[in-house]
Amino acid sequence: MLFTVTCCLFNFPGQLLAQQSEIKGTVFNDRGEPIAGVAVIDEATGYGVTTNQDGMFTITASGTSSLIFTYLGMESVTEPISGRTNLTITMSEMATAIDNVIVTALGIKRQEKSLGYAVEKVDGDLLQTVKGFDVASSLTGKVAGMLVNNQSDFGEAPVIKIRGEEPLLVIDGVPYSNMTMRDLAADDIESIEVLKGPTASALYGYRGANGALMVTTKRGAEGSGLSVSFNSSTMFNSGFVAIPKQQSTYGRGTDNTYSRNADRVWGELMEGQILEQWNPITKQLEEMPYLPVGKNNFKNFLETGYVLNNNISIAHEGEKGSIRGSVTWVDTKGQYPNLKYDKYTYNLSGDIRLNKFTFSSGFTYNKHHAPNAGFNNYTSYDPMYSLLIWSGTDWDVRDYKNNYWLVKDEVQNNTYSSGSLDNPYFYMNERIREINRDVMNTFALLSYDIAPWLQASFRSGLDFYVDRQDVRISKGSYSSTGDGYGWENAGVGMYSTERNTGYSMNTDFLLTGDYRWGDFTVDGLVGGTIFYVKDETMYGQTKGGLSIPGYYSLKASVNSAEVTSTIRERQVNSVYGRIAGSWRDMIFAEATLRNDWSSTLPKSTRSYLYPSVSGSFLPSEVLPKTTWLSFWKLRGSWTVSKTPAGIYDTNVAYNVTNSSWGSLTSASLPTSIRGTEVHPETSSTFEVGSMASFFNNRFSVDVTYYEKRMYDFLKSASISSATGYTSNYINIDEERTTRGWELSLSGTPIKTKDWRWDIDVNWSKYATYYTKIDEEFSTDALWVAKGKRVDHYILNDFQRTDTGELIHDNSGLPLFNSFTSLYGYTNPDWLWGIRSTVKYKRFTFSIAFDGRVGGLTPSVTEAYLWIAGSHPNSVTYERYLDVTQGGANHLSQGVRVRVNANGEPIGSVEYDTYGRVISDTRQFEANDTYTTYKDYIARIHKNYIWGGYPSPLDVLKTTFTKIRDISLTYDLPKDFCAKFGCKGASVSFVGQNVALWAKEFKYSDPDGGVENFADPSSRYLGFNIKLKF
Amino acid sequence: MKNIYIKLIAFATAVLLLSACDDMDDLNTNPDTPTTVTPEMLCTGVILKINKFSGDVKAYVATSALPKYVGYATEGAMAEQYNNIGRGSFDMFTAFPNIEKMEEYAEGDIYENSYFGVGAFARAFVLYRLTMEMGDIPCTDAGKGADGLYKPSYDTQLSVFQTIIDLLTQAEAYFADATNDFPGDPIYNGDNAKWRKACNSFLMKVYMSLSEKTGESSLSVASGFASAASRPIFESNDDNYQLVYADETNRYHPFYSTNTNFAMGTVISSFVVDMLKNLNDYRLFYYAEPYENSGNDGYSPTDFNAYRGLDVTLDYTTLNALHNTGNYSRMNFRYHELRDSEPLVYFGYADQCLMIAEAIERGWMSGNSADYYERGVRAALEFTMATNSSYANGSPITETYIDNYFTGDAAYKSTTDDRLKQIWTQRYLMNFMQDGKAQYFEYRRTGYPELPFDTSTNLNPNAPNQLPLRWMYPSSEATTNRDNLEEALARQFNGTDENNDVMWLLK
Repeated sequence: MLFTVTCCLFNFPGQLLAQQSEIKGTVFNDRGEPIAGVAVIDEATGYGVTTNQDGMFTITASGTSSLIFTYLGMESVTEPISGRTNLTITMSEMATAIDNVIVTALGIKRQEKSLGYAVEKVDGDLLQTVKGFDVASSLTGKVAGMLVNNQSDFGEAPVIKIRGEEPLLVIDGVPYSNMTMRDLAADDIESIEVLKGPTASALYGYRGANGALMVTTKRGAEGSGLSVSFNSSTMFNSGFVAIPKQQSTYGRGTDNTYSRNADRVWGELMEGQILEQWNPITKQLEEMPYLPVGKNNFKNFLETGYVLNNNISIAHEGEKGSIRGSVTWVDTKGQYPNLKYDKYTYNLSGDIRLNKFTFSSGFTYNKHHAPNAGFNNYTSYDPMYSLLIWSGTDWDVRDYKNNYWLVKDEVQNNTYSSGSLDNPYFYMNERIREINRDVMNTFALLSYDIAPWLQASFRSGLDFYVDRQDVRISKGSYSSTGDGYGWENAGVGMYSTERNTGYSMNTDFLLTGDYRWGDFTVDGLVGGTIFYVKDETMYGQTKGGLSIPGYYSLKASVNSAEVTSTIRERQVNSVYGRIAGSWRDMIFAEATLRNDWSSTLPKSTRSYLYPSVSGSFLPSEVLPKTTWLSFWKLRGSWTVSKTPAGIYDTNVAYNVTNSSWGSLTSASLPTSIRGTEVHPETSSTFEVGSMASFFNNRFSVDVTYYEKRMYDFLKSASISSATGYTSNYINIDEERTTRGWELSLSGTPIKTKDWRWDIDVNWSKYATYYTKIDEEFSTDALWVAKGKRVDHYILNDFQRTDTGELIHDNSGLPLFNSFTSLYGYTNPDWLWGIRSTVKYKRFTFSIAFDGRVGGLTPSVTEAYLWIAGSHPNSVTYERYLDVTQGGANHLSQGVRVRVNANGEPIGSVEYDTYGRVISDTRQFEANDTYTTYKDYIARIHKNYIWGGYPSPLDVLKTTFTKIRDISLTYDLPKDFCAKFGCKGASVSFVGQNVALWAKEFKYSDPDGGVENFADPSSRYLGFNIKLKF
Repeated sequence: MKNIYIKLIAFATAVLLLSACDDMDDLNTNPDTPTTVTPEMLCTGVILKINKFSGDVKAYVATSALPKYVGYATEGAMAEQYNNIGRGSFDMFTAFPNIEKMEEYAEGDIYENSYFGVGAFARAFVLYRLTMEMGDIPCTDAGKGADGLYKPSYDTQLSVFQTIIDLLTQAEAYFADATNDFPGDPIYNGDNAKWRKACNSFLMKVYMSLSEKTGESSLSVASGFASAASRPIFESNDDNYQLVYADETNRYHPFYSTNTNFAMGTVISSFVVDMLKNLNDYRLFYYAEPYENSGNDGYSPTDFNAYRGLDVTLDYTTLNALHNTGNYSRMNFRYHELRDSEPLVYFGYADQCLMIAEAIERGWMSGNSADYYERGVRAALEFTMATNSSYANGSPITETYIDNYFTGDAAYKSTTDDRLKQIWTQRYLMNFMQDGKAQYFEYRRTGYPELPFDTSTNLNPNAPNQLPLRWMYPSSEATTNRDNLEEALARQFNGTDENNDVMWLLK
């Protein structure tokens, strides 16, 4: 902003005209509110002033001249004075983005038309009506080329990817190292600029190599003076858009009969027969009728979750500066019992403007606390593990609520007396993962206008965090402690505590200048950055159990507790420069150059240099003016980006393990060969695009094509273990290229006094291909070849004959290949989003759809529902026969290899080392061996979670469409509000994650990108109240 | 004026450049990972790498399922039980660079000979295991990744065995010269004399593995064996090369678990139960639990009739259903309840005695084979006797019991054929829940005891009429070292890689 303002204000003084008079006036917006800070310039003299807090200005000008009113985000107005001395000006918001000002790398504000690369801006307003727990969810589907994976698992943060890679998060110009989107309060966000390609973020070096999200937080007040705003949102779980189901025909068992401790649901029919079962009330085994009393166990266990998101902010805008403070409290409760997560965000920011000085600063403190965030995923023993998958519906979970002990802190009241299935209430209350996060970030920016065309600025940002996680597993837990905590600690109890702490500092010094000669402008900067980050971890875990049940401390460790710590540091120093020029606001060009010194590289390759160039051209400035074409821009850019090695990646150092065998300490070399003189890996990105708007900017279209060629990959290339190592850390000569298209359309088809309809559509696709293979170090496989996609999904497919028939083994079950083969690709083929807003008088209805097409991922829920015998579709006639008549009743269609009288197969099949058939002389005959339905299911759905590949049957396309959010808002009339001392108020009915149509996912939500016992996906509905004073 | 700005820029740049070069190496030095370590730490790492079982309970069951000690009746059919053994792994080769470093750091210190001995022994151990599993393997080129040798070629099995023999001979010499007990040894606590014995016992094992290759002149199997046996070798179970489990961090028996699922789903094979019953062998009471309904059937836990194994070649559904009836024995509970149920023996005194008995029967050396047979069996019984007798189901093994063991079928027979069968049976019985793979190698060598399989349930790919003969090469060899792999395959098996290919050793 500073730039354009300075640019506009600083004009060469023209000739002075006589007959000057004082002209007063007020500038209002569409809604009749005064606007402060509007630049008012006398066209004849170039002399300018700005409006005050009340939107008023006073200027001395000739009565024959015109005044030009400009304000960011508003259409400029040129008003002939025509001898008047008092003017009332109404400025309206810009219909499209053509004159938008965009925050680019290092916080430099530039006009969108001058940019040679794709940038999209998301206004904070969009994120402040439908407010979930994470602001990132609200970004889903809003930006072309941006993928947001929203996992339905409690406590899991959404993952944002731009063009398939995770972007850098920059807040108020500072690329903090430890801040995440979760640490941002929706109400503190003014706007988010999405810098999609590496050119846009070239000045952030390797950290910006995958694009950047530039978050600008709110500063000062809208308008002027004091303002207070309050925004409260409450949403409750109102049903589920995806929820797993289980059959309730057959009970527990492994062999089609009842067995108390069977952790499978391959038992007998539940028909009221009398069986000895566990009675949780009397706490003994009793003869009871065997019935599906737990038919609704899963739903009965779930509770109503909610998200509360409240914010209050106070701001003051004065002539010499502004200040804003806000407090946000976000609270969510999960659908499983005893899951809760609270987030408190305190924000304070301010600016001081004194002649040539500008000082800005901001401070945010976040406190997150989840008394229990639970465990997700199969291998961490998700609650679904015992409740839904492995146990049947022959017991009623409600009987176990507040009734989960036989012996307090030691023995569970459980329908099972052994095995790995916990009482679900025991599970939620006595297996606890507590999370605490404290994170603080702050920055200071000082700018000084050395000359009207030259400015120096110094900016330093720091963030600091302490993340603490405590895990308490009670004695008597049946299921193991899960991934990462060791398998032997379950029954005996376990406590672990982990503290991760660290900080990062990013300090910039910049000298920026701009100058105009007639039709030419030149601007540029030189600067330097020092970026430093340090992370430390401390981890302690009890070993061998807890000495006193219920005593959770490292001191409770039976054997000596395991304690580890790590320290990681990195520093990157940089100098860079940028030069840009334009001619007649029609042709723009820009170039940057940056040199880094990275601590993670050896001395010889530590320093490296990389450039970028970009430009744009506005044909609409040349073409004859038409009524339909308002604006047309062509843009192009090319950039090189270099990424150094990771921390310690090049170190040849030993891994030391304490107590690796009793008291012995062992050491081992890394299994990756290191010490080669590696240099940074490189990518070069080429991008072209065009943007046009039509009919007075009512409609606009933006299209982008890009290619990112990545080479000199710095990676641990797999090598034969017979070398003594499993990989070699080098720059490999493989090349990959990502190619993608992005398209966005927006328009306002209806715009009348009462009605307005806005619609935005975006679509994108990308894929990464091998463009060169390293003969020595690329994986030698059929799917790794020039022109093939890199996101291949491989697995062991079913063995089939030439004609596609399934081949069975001699027990009558289908066989899998012993070789892996290509099954498909994991990235979505394309992404899309549509947002539509209809305004009628004071009502606004907004709805956003988005979706993905294609992309494979295994569904763990689906696979294990099948294996366990719980899948609703497993209630088949063959199964019924197996259970009621015994024997084997399922015949899998296909063939088997014919054998001779001695049982020797006739003919044989030979494969080459790629797994291709060289010769096949096998003779086939129809498979006529019946198996039980259970054995058939166990074979075709593979128990793969601990290793190996899933069955192709459980690898599903993620294709889906969602109604991401909806809102219906009513803006209360101003005079009505005024009665309550209110400047404005609105109430909204809101909904998030409202509906889902998935092509292949039936029992879980594919939105997370991966699906590993995904929690039921909640539909949230509620209301939002906004008040402004 | 302009000068000032130029100076300012120059100053800023200079400051940045200066700080750019400062301390960067220090930043990238990890205080938690040393760049040099002691040879003893590497020694511990190497020994654990090659000897410590790294999988979970189920994986441990799998190693004992192939030699038909146990079956698995939960979750689903266990591939190994039905003879689908898949591929091997070259992971153990990652011990090689560590061995090299251990030797480098040991050079010149007082334990030099010991660590060089451990190094040669460990290399031999890795090569032996891998060639036994797969056939030809990289040997000359192995472990040289750091020197830039990324695509190691495969050596023939014969030359791998020659290397193993050389390494063990060197190792023995090192330990013979070593004088100081060395630190960092999880096996013998640094006792060089015991290591020296282990080298010779291992060497005997290597020669015995080559019993089909007595005609191979470059090896002189028979005399090699006899010569090793004439040097210092194990004298009692105290000399066993074994991992002793304990209730200490990272020292639990791999079958121990608080999750009883895997243990409860593991069935003991009728093949081994019947053999033990036949010999009136009390080890049955240590290996198995009485079947659940045995009390109702009127059998006390001290009664052999209270123990019933299951035919582990039965199809999974039947096996599972029978297991659920409560009419068949489970594994003895000590395996999953105790963290230190019993040591895992790689080379033991009992096995060594049985090997000598076999060598005498084969005419490789002279001696009293009956004496070695009895010493071997006695040692094996004593090994079990030393475990926690409260799990013996009321029938603990005693010295008196051992003294009276050698009657009936356990009494040493008169013909070589019968004697060999007795020796092999005893080796099979003492390896219960021990090194299952090594026992499978023995079966592959001797064909006895004849492991049961059923062609209708055998899942040995492509050959339901036999048990597999080898593990296929790791699939990563195809993606990282294809040319050398293909050369080795062409040389041995007409270019294909299959579980039933016959390696040189068995021809």
